Amino acid sequence: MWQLVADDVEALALGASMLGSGGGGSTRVAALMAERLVREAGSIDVLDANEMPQGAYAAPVGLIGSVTVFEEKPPRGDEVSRALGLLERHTGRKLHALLPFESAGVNALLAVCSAASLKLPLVDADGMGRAFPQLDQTVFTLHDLPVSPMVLSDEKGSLVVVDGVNHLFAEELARSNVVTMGGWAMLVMAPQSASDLVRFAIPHSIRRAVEVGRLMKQGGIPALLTHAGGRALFRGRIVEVSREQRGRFGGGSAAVQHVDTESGRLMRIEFQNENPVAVEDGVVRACVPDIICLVDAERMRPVLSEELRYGLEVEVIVLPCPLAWRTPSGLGPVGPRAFGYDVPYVIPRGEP
Amino acid sequence: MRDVFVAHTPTLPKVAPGALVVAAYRRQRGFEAELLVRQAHMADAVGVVLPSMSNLMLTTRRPAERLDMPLLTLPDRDPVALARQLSREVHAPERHASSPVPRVLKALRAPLSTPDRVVDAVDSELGCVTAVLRAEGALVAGELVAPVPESLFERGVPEIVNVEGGHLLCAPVFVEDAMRPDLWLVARLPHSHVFWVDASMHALTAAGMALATWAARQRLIGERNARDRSTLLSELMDNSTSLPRHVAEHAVRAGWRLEGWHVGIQVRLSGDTQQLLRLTPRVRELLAEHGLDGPVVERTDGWACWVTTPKMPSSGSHREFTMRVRSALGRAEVIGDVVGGIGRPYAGPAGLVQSLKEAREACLFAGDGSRRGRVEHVDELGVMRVLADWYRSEAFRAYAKTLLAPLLENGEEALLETLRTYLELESSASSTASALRVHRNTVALRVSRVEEMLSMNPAGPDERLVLQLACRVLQCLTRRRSSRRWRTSADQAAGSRRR
Repeated sequence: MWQLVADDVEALALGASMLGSGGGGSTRVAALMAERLVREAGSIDVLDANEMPQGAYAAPVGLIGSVTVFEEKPPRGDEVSRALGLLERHTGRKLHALLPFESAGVNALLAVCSAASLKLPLVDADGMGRAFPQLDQTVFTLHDLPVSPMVLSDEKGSLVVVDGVNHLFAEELARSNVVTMGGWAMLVMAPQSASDLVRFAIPHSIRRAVEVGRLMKQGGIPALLTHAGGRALFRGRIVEVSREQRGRFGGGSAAVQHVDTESGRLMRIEFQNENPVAVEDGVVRACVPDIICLVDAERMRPVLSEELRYGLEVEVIVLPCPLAWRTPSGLGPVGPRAFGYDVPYVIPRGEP
Repeated sequence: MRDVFVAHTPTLPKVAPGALVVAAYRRQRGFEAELLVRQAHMADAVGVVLPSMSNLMLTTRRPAERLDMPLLTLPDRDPVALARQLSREVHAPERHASSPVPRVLKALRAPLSTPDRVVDAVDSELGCVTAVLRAEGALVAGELVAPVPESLFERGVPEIVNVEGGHLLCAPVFVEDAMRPDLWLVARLPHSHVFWVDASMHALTAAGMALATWAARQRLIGERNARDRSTLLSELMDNSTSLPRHVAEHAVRAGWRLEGWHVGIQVRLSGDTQQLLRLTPRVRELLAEHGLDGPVVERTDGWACWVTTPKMPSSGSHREFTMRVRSALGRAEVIGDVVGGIGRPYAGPAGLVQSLKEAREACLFAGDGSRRGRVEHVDELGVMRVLADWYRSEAFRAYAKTLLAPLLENGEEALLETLRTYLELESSASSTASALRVHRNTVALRVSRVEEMLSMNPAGPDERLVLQLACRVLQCLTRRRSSRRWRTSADQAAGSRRR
């Protein structure tokens, strides 16, 4: 168990944004909220999954919908507590702790917010280990753990219980409710038992986010790659961005020209919420589920895919994904083919 | 290109070298193109076709440029249909050879009314730019986009000339002469497969046959019209005093106005009269250009034309009229060696015949060189008209031949020439010598030999007159056969005298 204090929130926000792989939403508002709530609470207990009492339950929480809307229409503050109350009544199970279902982007911080305001411990684990666009792209789905009943809660006080379904159908039901609820909702998934979390959840994801943030702040990309693993792919300037609607989410492609313009090197970054594929000279240099991250070379901050614009100088780096996603069954829901890229998942030879 | 390969995934299985890769992805994202370009390059493919894609990002274009891999984007094309079509063209190019000929033939089923229809049919069926040219290269129909090599018109055989950016297919069209084409069908084809070029040439030849039929039909109509005109004019000449009704009707149908005042013009063509019919439109054009609008009728040695006015032309107008005819025929070098005669204005059908007869008479003296122009008005002939009757008299012609028989039969061309020049130049031996460029003594010797052979003395006034007339008549006869030679020597004689 370790304590998360208000001073860690900045590093957590930066790290979570890095792990968002261009997605996960802006962390600005959520970081301010989290910092205030943690400061009020003093600190938050962060438990390893195996430190949870036997037979205890923890619920994955997070935001579903648009982060842009979330920042313009802030929460009332009691969304998660109402949702948890309903979930406890509905399942008859007492919840001992919370965990983010996605420890990247805004959702890592919102889990901290919830834990701080509800005075509940936070389990240092999550369902994705990075950012993914859909609720069914979690290890819970991968290992067939129930995610329903899930409760959606909005800032107006309405609560929606989705029960009896799992996987994609649960995601679609939740997603269509979010539209009616005004763009975003807080979501609490079905309580997960401590033993399941120990076996299946992606461990130490909050600590990893904090660490990534700290390394970035202190030593920049070289320090990050040295201590957290990963590889630097490319450094260059964005020379072309084309956006289009791809499936349910917006997406597009960006062309990055290498800083050494003489070399004629170009890299193509595909994006749809996150950055799923990076191609250079007809070779896939990196792809999901690895975390492809574009870092603004000037401000040393990750660039979200909606912030990509002509002329921006970026460093393209890849952080390894949790090992659970690199298995054949893991690559099913989150491999390149799940995002419409008909290429196999590979790490090019000769690259770390 | 040796094969067509359809790629369903960006990772390419075995592609034969020299294949064209057609991308057939269900959901095209653009990034596949990049992978495909590299894969295609490694497999030695010749190009990548991306149907249903329109804009390529820099990251796709640049590597393709660097690898020298042609990249074709065809928005809104079905990849499978495209691959099938390409594959057929690659594996069975000879199929091309059979397709355009029936298509062109189908387009030219109906008889042609204008040569433009051939041009349209060939243009649309072969996808080229076609022109119909005359044998000497002038444009008849269509559009000529590339210059045709001059040497083409000399040979008269079908030819495919490779020009910049494509091929020039030239098909000769034979109408009258089996050795010399009358028209050329020239098509400019963009760079194409050799089979397609061959097939297009066949189709062009087929179109050329349709064109030949059209040209032959036009010529037939022209000849029939010419024959009708000539017959009508002959009937008019025969019946000038009382005009039979059917002749008058014919004349009306031909558009001839028999009432009013007529001025006849006779144009005589020396040399090849075979081409007479073909030249009629040019003669009509030339005269019309000079304000001489009227019928042009073919005769055996030239054309009879006349201009009809409702009122009697003023007495001074004949000079200006002659000038116009002169300038019209002065520009007739495209037609050949022509001379003309003009009659006086007369009224009515009988007047027309009279004027034409006078024009014919005047024409007889035109261009004989010694003092005369190429166009003569009958009024300007003066005393020569008196002689004209002598020239035309068959009896005197026979007499002249008998008279000069000793010279003619022995082939004494030089003696005859000397005699004629001697008489024309007032029996002056020195003038004759300088005209013929011989010594004076030679002239004297030849004249004495002529005296000897003919047993006649040109010094006596009667004998001199008879001999000179006989020479003139003979001149008329020979001029019909070879007017040029005769005129040249006469010109020399006249020129030397002026000196």
